[in-house]
Amino acid sequence: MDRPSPRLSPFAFFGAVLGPVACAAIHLAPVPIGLTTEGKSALAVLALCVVWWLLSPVALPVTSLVGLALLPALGALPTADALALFGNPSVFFVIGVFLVAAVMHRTGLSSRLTLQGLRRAAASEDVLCWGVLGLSWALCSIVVSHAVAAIMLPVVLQIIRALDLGPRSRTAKRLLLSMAWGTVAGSNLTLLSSARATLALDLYANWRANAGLAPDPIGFLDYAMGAAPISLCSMLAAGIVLRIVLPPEGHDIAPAIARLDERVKELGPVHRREKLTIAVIVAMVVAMVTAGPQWLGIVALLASGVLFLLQVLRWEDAERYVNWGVALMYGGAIAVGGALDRTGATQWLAESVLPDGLGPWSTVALIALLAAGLTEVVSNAAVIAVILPIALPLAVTAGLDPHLLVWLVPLSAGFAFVLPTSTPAMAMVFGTGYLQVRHTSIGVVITIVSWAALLLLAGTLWPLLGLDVTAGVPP
Amino acid sequence: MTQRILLAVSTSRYSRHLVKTAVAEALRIREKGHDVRIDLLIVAERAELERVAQRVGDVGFLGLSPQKDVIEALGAEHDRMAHRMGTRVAEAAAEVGVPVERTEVDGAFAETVIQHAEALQSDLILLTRADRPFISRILFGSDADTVARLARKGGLGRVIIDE
Repeated sequence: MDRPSPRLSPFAFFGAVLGPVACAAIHLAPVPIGLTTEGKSALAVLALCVVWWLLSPVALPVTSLVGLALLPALGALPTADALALFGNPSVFFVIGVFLVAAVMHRTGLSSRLTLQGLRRAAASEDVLCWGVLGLSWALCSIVVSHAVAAIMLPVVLQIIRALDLGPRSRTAKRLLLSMAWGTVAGSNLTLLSSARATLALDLYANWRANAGLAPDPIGFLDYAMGAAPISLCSMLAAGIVLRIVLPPEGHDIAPAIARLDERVKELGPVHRREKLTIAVIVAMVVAMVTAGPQWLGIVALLASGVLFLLQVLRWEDAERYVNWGVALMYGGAIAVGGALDRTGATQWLAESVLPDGLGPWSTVALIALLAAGLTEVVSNAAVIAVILPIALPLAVTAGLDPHLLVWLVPLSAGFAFVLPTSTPAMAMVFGTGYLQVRHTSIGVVITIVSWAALLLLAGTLWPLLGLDVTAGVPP
Repeated sequence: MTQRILLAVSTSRYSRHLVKTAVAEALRIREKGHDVRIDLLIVAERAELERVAQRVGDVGFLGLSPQKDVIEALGAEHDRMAHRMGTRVAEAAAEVGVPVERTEVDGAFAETVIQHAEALQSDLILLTRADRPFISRILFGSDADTVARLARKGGLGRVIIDE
């Protein structure tokens, strides 16, 4: 595929210069009291990664790789230790998650679920919009949210075409935003919905190991029970706000139903490969729920192996449907986060740079706000890699059980409802030309409601699941 | 002598009011005793679609196949919008008997508009803004303002930015 000119934008060029300058400035500065030389080097690498993840002079995985290489080069970690951090279990889980998305796409199963789900929801214009929102959200429970957005976009545009909606149509805008916000809210549903929760689990496990604490395994179901109610609140908030701001225009949706019927007919009867895919995915989810957390990556890889063995997925498909930079991005990000822990840099940051006297609730609110704000301009995986290693010691200082951050940070980093830069789903719907900058203000409302719902459920529902903000740091 | 109005639009830079303004300007010119025609320029900006697909790959970590699906879906929608805009302008102009010449070009908006204004020797360049707040225009610039500046600098026709 031809790509636009590789010329850097002014922002990217600024980032290309600023990253190394910030890194060199920190590396060459005197060692502050309380910080080791290795810790200062790790902070220098973090500075470069933050600037490059933010301004993107190079692709995200390249930044991770450069960060990984700089850890030994600047003396933060020995080479073997830095590279060992790269090969962590969550990278393999992420590989499995993306292969599942690939097989759903490749077999046409995702299209079938989408089209049949929408056909059932197509009772009226209002219900159709709710259907797009709900289906985008629900599909994220088993398919990574970016893939759901890529699957849903052509279907939603076909509905818009069938209804002959113009660029000023409220219904068109509502359908597109329902799709985007359904996937954004859905990205917080389970560990399969996005890779960032897995990244948080791994950074947390590394932090405990470095701190000499016993492992604190968090399973598939544990995560989903804490995360899904907040994801549901975001989805409902998005639906209600869209219903109010972009009310139905009273279109006859018969042409859309006819188009959906046509597409369903084109798919034909359920194919054997789709049935096999359903069977393998159901078995994989059951195994993830019942097996211990340490088996998540292994289960995902074994399920992928079975899909290859059954010829449902071929390696060419894996190459066509997945950008394998994902493994490099996550591996490098975990290595940088791990280095910050091991060298004591995060502990120093939490104690000396961040404000004193923060209580557990203000810490929760602050971290959630910071993650939700940052995710609008930086990849949400990068948000986890930057915030979580610093937030873990900060939580301990503030008397908050760091265990909670495994939910708090990835969920907040998932509130990417505002800018087209926040997630691919938002970039896609803004790329249609139907939405203008003023529509971002609706996203701000949904982000605030989601943030408030997170704090509310953290105070009411989470204690029932053993996640108590006020319980203090366990001994 | 025929006066030429260059009506420049793209999917995100189009409004019904702009079409009404174009027709009103055409009628005003005709009232002064000149012949008038509208050159409708639809700028496709396909590079923007490529950038969206690239984001799907770089940040969403999806492969080339889903990226291609996204480009095709967005491209098809942009083509439909272009056809729709062309039809609307042609209908509005036909009602008052003003001829319309339609051109569809892929390129960056401001540069493409200026190139066509020069080539067609347009007397009036008419466009609207993509709906962006004032602060955003100050910080990141505006294609409409760029067209106005380049037209002034190059001694091209009068520019109307229909707000």
